[in-house]
Amino acid sequence: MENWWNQNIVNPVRRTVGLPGYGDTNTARLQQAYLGDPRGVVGANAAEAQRIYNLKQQQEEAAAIINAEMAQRAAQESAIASVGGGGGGTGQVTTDLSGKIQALNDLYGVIYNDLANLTKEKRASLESSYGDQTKNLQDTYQDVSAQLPMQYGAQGIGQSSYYAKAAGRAEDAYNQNTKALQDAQTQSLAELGRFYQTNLGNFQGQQAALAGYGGVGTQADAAALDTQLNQLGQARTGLQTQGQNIAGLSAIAPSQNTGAAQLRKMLGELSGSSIPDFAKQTIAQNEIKKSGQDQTYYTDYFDRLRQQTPGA
Amino acid sequence: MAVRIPARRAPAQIPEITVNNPGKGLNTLISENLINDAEASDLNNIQFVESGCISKSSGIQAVGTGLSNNPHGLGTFYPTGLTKRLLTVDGTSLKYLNGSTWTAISGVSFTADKEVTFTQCNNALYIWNGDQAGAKLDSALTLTRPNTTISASFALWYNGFQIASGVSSQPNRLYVSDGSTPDPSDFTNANPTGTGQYSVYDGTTHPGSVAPYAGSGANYIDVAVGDGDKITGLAKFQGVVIIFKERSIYQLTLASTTGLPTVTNISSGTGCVSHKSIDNVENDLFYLSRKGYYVLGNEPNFNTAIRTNELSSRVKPVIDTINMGEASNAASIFSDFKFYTTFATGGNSYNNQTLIYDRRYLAWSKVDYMTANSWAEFIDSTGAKHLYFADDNSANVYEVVDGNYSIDGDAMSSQWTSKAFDANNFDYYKRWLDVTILFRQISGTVTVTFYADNNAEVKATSVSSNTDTSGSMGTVVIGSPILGGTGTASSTSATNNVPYRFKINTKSRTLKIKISNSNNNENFIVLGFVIAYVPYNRQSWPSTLKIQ
Repeated sequence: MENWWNQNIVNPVRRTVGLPGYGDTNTARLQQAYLGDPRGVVGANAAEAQRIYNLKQQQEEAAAIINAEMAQRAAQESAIASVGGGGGGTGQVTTDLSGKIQALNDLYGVIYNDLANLTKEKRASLESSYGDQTKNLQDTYQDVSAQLPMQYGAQGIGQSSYYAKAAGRAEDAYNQNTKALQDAQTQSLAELGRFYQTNLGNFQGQQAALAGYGGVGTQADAAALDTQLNQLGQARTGLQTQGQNIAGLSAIAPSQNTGAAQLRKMLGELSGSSIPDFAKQTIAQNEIKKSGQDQTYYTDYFDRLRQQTPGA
Repeated sequence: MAVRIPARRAPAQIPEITVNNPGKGLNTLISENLINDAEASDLNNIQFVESGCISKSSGIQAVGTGLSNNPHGLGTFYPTGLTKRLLTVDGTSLKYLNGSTWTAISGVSFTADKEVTFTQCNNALYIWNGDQAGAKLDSALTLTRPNTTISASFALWYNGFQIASGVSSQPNRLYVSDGSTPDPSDFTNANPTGTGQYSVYDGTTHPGSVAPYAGSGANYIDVAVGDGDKITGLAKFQGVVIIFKERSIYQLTLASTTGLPTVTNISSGTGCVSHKSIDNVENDLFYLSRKGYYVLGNEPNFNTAIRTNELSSRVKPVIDTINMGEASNAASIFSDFKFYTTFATGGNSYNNQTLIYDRRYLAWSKVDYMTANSWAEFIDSTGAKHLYFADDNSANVYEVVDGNYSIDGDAMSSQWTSKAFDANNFDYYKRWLDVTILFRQISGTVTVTFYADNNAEVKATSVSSNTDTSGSMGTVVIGSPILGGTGTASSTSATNNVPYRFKINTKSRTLKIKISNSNNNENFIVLGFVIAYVPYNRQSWPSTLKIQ
């Protein structure tokens, strides 16, 4: 039947002679009816011709519908191809996903690279900050170590346990601050590592899910991949700008050690300020305590500043 | 013709030298001709009373029984709410005066014959001898030797810290006790963080202490270490601690907020040789230096500047007799306006000479029977104040007793010798007519001796409380009734001023008066004297003293 349909209906050109069982005239009429000419619905085979004519009409109507659908599908596929670069469908229920998957894999590669670079930059930033702070601590310790003998010597107690204790406290403060910085640096780098691993893991998990797709999938699969592709593109863009990531990276900011230099600067400004003396002392005590520096040394240091300040 | 009646000639005015209140003290620095009229060219066992009059010095009386050795150190202990104690170290025992008996306190023994000082801190008494770690006597009279004290020689209590020094192996070191606890006996510390010799606390840095050290806030300072000098004394002066070395002086202050000390040099020109020689006198410090007694006080009009000044220049010849080998044992006290200080002279190994500086008259005197090793002023339970000294030459503690003029029952020999008066004109000879001496009171007999040039004795006589007008006062009766009364001046009434006139009638350039008494528990007070004389013509001059 199908062959008949194809030979007689779908490809009628290949068979120009009338239908089997009918004479030439009748066949011609039937052909005429088949061609959609109602003038063929006459004669002895008019009923047959009418049936053929009706079939012809139905066929044309079905073809029109099919064509319309095909056009619509073609339009859809064309649209899809413009986004994902995928090939045309092989039918109404399957589509080629390999292009999309490749695109996604490529994008993941880019993201991994971005993530690695971002982490690397952050690490360099952290190490630089901690390096600077450590150097500041070293400079301050060297300053204090150089000043202590002179200060205590000027007070006539350069050769005393007071000096030895002060030097010990300066050393303690330096060691503690350095260790605190080292600890903070280690912690920051660990957090950065966790940030990298967490994000990498997330992306890799998503990427691994691509393996579940074959080269061909449904339109829904393709749509899902498109969505994923779209989201991944956005994720890449937002890797350094997205709130969550920013928060994560900001949380890995280097710990700040105020250091003796800043404390001395603050005490100098405080001593020269116009606030009442008792308030100066209270503020100074709090700041000295907070700084983690040698309280005896800096209290005495502030006392001297106050004494040098007119009206203090 | 009028008869001219010759006018009656008025008697010629006799020149006089008048000296009232001759209590400006001993001056042996300059010539006896040139000293002040009220000064003495020599004296012994004399004190100055009233408005600057001359008197025998106060006697002494032994206190308590039960001492077997020459006592070393004399301390007072005033525990809050408990009986006050007077203490000394007898041989190896610490003893306190219990009624009239020196009673030993057991628990700790002391190296015999070491100099001892006492410091009361935080209701406990610390005993230092420079040989053993300091001992502690608490208010219950429990005597211990904490592991945390050091073998210091002396200490003081300052702003909640006991500050000690005088450790022989650490001669420049000042030890500061832990101020963070109420117990000032802890001079040690767990080794703090840091390196270097001053972060070490052990038996070398803290001789006398015993490990392990529990740790405290104690500190130590080397003052001008390596200067070849040593810390010899400590004193409080107003708000600061004065650190004496033998040839320099420093002050220590503590910052009010941190307690961090500052040590500043005050003088590199003088120092102190004995911790016990230092005492606060009014607003100043007196101390014995190698140059004599000095005063440390504020620069006039500059109350923040501390300066030193020589105090004993007028008795410099006496100072020069100090046996410097024993000078570290010199002992002083300021009591009732008088600064008593005792030291060894010549070849003596004990303190045999006392100088007394009377702040009221700015006058020096000396006595020879107060051979003090240490001095102490003690306020007893009745509130009466006593002045005691531990004798350096006998097993006794003595009290200085006003109104008593004996040396623990024995006679006291006192004398006061004036300047060599020359009427401010040494190139004229004078006829010394007489001398009138105004006595306040005489108990017993007073000997008066007059000397002409070169200490040539002119006349020696005596006057007693029983002297009357019959001339029994001596070899001289001035030819008229005794001026001013009968001479029976046994009363202590202040109105019993008795002037005695002594005929001299001697030619010399100078005249010197010596008033003395060597009898037991007798006394005299000289308020002043007048010397009458007539100058000779300038041509009257011995040919032997003329150079052609």
